[in-house]
Amino acid sequence: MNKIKALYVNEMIKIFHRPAVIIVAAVALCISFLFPILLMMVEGPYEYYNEETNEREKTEAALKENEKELLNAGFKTTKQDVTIEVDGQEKTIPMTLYVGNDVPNLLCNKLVNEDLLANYDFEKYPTRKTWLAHIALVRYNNFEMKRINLDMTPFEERDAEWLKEYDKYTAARDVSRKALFEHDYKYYIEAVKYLDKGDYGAEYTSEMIKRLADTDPNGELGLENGYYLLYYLSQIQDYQKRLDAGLDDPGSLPRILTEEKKEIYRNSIKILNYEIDNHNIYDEKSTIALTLVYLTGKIAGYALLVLLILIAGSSVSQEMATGSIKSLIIAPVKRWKIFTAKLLSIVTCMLVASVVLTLCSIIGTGFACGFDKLPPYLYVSGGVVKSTPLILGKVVLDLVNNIPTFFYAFVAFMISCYTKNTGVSVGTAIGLSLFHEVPTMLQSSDLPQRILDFSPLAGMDIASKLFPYYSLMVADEDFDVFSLSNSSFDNPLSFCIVYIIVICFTVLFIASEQFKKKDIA
Amino acid sequence: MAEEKQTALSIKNITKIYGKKKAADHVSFDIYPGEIFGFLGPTGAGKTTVIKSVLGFIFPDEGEVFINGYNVKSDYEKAMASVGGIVENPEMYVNLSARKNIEMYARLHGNIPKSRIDEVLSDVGLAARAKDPVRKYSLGMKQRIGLAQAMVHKPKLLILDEPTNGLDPTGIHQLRDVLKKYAHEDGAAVMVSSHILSEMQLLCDRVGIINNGKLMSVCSMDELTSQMNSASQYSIRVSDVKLATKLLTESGKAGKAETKDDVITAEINKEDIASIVRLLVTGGVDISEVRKNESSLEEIFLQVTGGGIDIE
Repeated sequence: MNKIKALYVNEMIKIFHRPAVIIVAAVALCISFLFPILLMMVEGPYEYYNEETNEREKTEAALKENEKELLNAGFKTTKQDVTIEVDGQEKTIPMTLYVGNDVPNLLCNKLVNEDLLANYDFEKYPTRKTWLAHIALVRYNNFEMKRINLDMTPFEERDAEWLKEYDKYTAARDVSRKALFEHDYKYYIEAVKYLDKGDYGAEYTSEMIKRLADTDPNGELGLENGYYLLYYLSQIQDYQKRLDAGLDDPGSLPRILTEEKKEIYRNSIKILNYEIDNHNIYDEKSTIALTLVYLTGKIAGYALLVLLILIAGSSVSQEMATGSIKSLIIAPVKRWKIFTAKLLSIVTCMLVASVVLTLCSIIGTGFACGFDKLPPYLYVSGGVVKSTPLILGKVVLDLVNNIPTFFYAFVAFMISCYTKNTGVSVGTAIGLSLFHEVPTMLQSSDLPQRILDFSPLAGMDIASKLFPYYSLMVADEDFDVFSLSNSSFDNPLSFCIVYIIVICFTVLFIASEQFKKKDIA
Repeated sequence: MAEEKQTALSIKNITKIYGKKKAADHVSFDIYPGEIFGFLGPTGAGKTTVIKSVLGFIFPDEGEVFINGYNVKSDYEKAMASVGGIVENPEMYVNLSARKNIEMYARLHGNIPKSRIDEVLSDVGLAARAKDPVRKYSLGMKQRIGLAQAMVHKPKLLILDEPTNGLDPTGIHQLRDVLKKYAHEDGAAVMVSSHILSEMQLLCDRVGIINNGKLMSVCSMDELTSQMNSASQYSIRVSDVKLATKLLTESGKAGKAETKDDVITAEINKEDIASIVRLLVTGGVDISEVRKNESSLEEIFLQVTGGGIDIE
């Protein structure tokens, strides 16, 4: 044991005195720490939700513009009494016909803006600050435009069906207006019922709005938090749908849900409810922070790959090339001990490099976005939602995520023992690691080829199985990079672990046999 | 395991085959404590193969190696604990200092005090530059560091492959003194391979000669010199070459004489040297130098190995 310890100490000294290793490690550290800071400096803070504007002035300016544009649009109004047969009875109704280019949009804006300027208290409920005011105004505009669209229909084409539609959108507009002016969820929930499929916000069902209203009885919820909360609610709805159907991803390639997956979905719902109940909703900045941590980790991951392959791939071959292996062989230590110490030093570098790079990326992001914007990782244990600081969760997650990198470093080590050539071992291992993406891509293209499951590491996504709730941390459906697994196949965790242990063991066994039993010329 | 305790190194029937070629063919010899053993052979003769078999670089196909009685195969660590060596060139970790290199090597041997590292650095004359990275060292300095590293744990068997490579004459002289002291005073066994035959003559107590993988001869340096032909080549620097050549030819005690500038080279028996010198001096020729040519060991070597081959 003492001999292995002495060899191990020597190996670590050698690694930390290798110029190429020092350079690549420094690059990786700089990327991890500086990338989030530089990105935020270049992009600047995302201020969409916090933009300071005088809404009244803005509305007045918009109204003037609308009026001018309407004049240019050849806008004309014709009024006429139109007789329509409804349920066998003839009804004569005074109606209006609008003519012109882009009238619905311009006229709708004009009418709504006039109404707002005359009757709305912008100071009390700014439409850019509270979610209810914002969405109610959207609805008001939305239904008013649908009404004006109907007013573009020639008088002779208007029938009972037309009248029914017109009445529906008039009621919808009125109830939306009430929601806006009286700032009351009750009316908005009613307005949602009139939405057509495909309308903006139609995915937020009445049930979701009711839940939102429960958490925000006075309509004070900020615009940003409102949208994030709704995203959480839509996630819950999506998981519930999957559980009810017993199918995973019913939209694309339906697969029957396993018990394990059902448990994950149930726990995901628990976590999302926990966050809603505890008013722990992430905001834009948290999402940006997490995105930066993710992107930084991804970019630093490539530097980590090169670093570890360089360390492992040169461990034996460089000693062979320079002849320094001689002082090891002449020493009173058996070759298996030399091999073990080299392997231990490589594993140490793997663990230390992965942890240090993760810490740097989180600290860098903390400086860029604020440490309070780094949300904890939530998980379920014993049926109870628990949390752990992001820094801890991400360190472990990255260690698991870096398993393929570790594997390719072992491959470099094996090739190094076999060819005794650093260039060949490093180049081949990096090449193989790039090829590794190919079966992964084929898998994500939904090709029904189970054989792809056995391509090295493809489909062996342990991270998404050990950290199934990490994707819940980012509440942004447009930014789906946090989806850890793209695999259409779902190997059980136990299979993945055994598979990875077997291939790593095989690679290391070949390396060990080569190192221990072959002559050193 | 306490087999053949009296030998520092015992090589028994070592055979190593590469493809169809026998690099070492049943090589056997012993080295004893307190002696310096020279290992001679032309390029590709199998010297390095034997040394590498002893030091664990290659695994022989047949035969066994015992170091201080320990079988290298079955008691590797115990056997190697008392060996120090340089194979071919001393290769170090060039980004580390000489001291760091020796410290790392010493760590593998266990409890070696720092004072011992200072001592060996001082012995090889590199104490002042011990903190410089090895990449800044000349080949000669690397040889010295290699020697310091090989001796840091006071091995009972020191194996040096071409140790004078890159050393200047002073360095060679110092090395010879260090090795002689280490063997003759400290009682260690030293095995040296070198292509400078004159060095071997000055340094070794015994030599082993290997050719085509086979050990041709093992004998003491005295035995080796006694194998010399009675007629050896001598060079005599004289004041009058013509007269001296005439006198030598008339005496009949010298073989065919060749002249170059003021030097006559001729085959002369050792016992006739005194009478020839007298003859020349009384004949009116002044002698400024009489020198036995250094190729003597080479000649023997050529005889033993069959001649006609390049000598390392």
